[in-house]
Amino acid sequence: MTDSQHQAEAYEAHSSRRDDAESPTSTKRVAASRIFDRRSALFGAGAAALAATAAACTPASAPETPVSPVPVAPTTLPATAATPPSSESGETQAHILHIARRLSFGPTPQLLDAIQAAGTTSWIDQQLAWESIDDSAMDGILASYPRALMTATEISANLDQKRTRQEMAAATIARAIWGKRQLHELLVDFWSNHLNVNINHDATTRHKPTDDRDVIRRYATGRFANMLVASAKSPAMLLYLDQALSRADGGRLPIENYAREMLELHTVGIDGGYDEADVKEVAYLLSGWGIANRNDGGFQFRPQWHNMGPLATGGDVLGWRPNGLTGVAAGESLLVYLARHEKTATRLAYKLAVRFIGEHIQPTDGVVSSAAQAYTANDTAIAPMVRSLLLSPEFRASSGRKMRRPIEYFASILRSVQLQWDPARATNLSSTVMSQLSLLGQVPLAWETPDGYPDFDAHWTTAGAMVARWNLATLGSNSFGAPSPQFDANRILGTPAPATVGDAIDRAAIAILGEPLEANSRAAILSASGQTSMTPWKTTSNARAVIAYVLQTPQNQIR
Amino acid sequence: MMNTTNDAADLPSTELDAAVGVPLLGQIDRRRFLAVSGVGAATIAATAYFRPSIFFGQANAAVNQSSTTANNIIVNIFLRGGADGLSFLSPLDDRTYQSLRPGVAIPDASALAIDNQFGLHPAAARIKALFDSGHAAFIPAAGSPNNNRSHFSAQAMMDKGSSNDPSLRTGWLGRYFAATSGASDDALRGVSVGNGLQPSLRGSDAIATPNLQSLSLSSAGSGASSNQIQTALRATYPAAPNELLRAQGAAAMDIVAEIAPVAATSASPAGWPTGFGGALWPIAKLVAAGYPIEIATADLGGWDEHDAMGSATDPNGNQYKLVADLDAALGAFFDFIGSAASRTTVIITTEFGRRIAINGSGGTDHGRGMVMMVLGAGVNPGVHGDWPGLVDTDNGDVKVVNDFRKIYAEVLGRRMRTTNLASVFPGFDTSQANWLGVTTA
Repeated sequence: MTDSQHQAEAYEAHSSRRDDAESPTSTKRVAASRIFDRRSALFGAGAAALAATAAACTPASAPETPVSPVPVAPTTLPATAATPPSSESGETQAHILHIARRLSFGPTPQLLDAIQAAGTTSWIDQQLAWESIDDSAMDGILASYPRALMTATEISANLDQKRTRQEMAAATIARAIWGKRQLHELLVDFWSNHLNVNINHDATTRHKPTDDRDVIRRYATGRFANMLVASAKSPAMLLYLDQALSRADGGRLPIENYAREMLELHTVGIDGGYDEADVKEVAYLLSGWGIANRNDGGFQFRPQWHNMGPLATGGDVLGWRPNGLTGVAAGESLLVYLARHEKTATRLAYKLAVRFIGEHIQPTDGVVSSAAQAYTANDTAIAPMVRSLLLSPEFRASSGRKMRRPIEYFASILRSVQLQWDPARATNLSSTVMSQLSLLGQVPLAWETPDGYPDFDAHWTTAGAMVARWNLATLGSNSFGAPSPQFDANRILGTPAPATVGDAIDRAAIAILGEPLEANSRAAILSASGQTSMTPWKTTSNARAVIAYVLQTPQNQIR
Repeated sequence: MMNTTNDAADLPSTELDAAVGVPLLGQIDRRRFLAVSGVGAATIAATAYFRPSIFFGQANAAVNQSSTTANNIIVNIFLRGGADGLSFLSPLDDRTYQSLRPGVAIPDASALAIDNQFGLHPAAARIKALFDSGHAAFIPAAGSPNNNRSHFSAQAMMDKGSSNDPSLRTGWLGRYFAATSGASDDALRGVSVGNGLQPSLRGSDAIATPNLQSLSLSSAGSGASSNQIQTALRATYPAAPNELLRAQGAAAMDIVAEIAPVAATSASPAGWPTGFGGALWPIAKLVAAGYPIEIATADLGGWDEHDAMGSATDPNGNQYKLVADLDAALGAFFDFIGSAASRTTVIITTEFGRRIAINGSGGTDHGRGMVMMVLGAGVNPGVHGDWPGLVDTDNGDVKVVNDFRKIYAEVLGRRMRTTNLASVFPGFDTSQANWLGVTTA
């Protein structure tokens, strides 16, 4: 990778601020006393260490008594402080929580149990083999957002662009909240941005559900070469980057837009070694790639618009030559060649590393080259590349180093408050998704330019954005107005009701964060509410306020 | 102009005060109050962190002060996607232009003439009015010497204020703040309207927000009071383990306090233009209210017109609609800020212009030279810089002969309090001899 490429990527990665502070999963924690009932399997092992720290830092907290009248959830391990770590080498509760935060849209008690039960490596492998995970419950939920699954023909038959966009956004968030294929969903988000098609583009809206299903979701862990070719033939992409209109017959100049972005963003990258002449050559090569019609057409090649241009008489694109191929076969050949290019391998591995490990990773790091090798060795297969990153020491050491982006924060709040799906409120959810994520600047699938939503913390963690996040948390503490039985704040605190305010705060922290609150945050919440840890919790006490405070904490911004 | 006679009046304080057990503060400096009284366990961290100049009552004092000190303001508008310069400022009586753009070129008869050589797009009536009143300057054939037709690389260069310096991580407006860091550390010195900070402001503490309402802290639905929530946040964020959260969280608290007087009445007036008007509204409101803003930024996308630009005289044409959206918003902006227009200068830029010839689909591909515009206070009206014409081209594109940094440097140098322009544009000659005369001395 050259300096200028590195520079271009670093510009996007904005590295002026580094988080070298204490990891949020450090053991310097306040222990929550009666929390282990609900999170028995996960927190049992860590209880002794936490309790020791707690005794020192939080005089106000109750004596350490991991005993509760609440029934213990079925687990594979007994909930005692004597429980050894799981059988995997180096397995720790902190690592399980790290995986749950980083590889899902937010830890839930059920998810933490599932990772604990499977073991971290096995859980990752299960998630990468997402097609084997029964997620049929999602089918019932998605039935409320029918446009998210329709073909362009079906959408065009009763065209409602706004509703199509809302249903696609809601379906995306619904999968993040309730889906079991969490890692797949995160990869779908990654590839949706890598091969970005703005759903708000007038021409693309009706084709976006097809692109989402047949390009992004289908190949999210499959071969990138297949994804790239499918994308190049996807009506949504063909319209978004104007390729569907490109004709080079009769002396016309082909449109360069798709050719340029495909080289610069989808494959080898800005410093992949191509020049302006290559962009023009690729534009000619792909002339005639289009769709049958704008309303419902699939891919259609128009030979009468096709002109091989300069490549017909010699020359190459980064070493690729047509060798007698023309038309669709020539284009496909180039796309597969570029997918296999070493620059593409490194670039994809680096982008995934930034997404799943952090901005401190550099394109030249070993963890990137190992992942790129896994991609190349498996002929552009994505799953081995992702697996290589997620099992690396760099991933393990990266806990606390990434901030939640708005979609992740939003979905995690609804996972935390255990929002229950209610088909009668499907429209309410979709309008909440649109309004709230619009304020936070990340409506799903709606980034305007082909580079996809930015993936560096400083973009999303500005002062203005912090206010919006805090406001989102207060709304989230009431589940955005969803009435009972969809939302019951007291359910988050568990039954029977907490005995003290401190107990309530600790239970909320475990339910929402998957770990106890930092001592300072806990003290601040008590102070703000004008109460002490030992103040008795009453039936009239305000569970929503406690939940709002915890949802707002710095800890809950971390993924 | 705002009236802020009572510091405490803007923030209901009963619950905050009850939480920490002190009486209503009245005229006491709230920042010092926080520092000495402390909240929960975070006293030391809070004292150490909060920025010294602005908190609660002091924010309002700063507003009052600004109405007398009357700092100048730059509004930097970036048209993302490569706005076609020839559709802003068309060469009159130019057969090359008309012949390479059949159906798209601005007909001479429809252009709003600036002089005998150039005319504005028919949809740019408000910009034309600014010119007529002596408040609009145009720089054609502008851009970077770096010949890069990638949106993202070209935008990065413009935002950085560099032709291509790999060591630069900051934006040119971010470095302006660094070069003048002692002058003010008001939380609203820099305001970026949109989803995330305009990259030109990187390296600064400027805030990013999509609208004014989003800067107001809500307690809706939580059952806690707004003051209780503020109390908790004030105590937690200064001690956050992550530096970004620590800094931005604390800055957010400053802003919530400072913005409170206008946040409640933050809706735009009837008739305010939709579209880009929505992005200029928060800036107009804050500028008109006398907040000590120095730099405001806004982005307008959609200029990447690879197909169907449409006729320049058809109000339903794509390019027409883009120009009209920008034009209406600028007109409303200058109308609203009233007398503050005498200290507000708007710079409009884009990453590159578009190819002179239309492609096979009635659009234009990525080109080189674009048109920059400088509007408002201190402007020397007219067309500035060299014009290479449309025959001597850069591979079919308008040549770049006017370095964009000449304009940035001149506007900063003349309008703002920068004393060290060289640090804002490293490696570039920022001396007056290199300026184009876009502003008046």
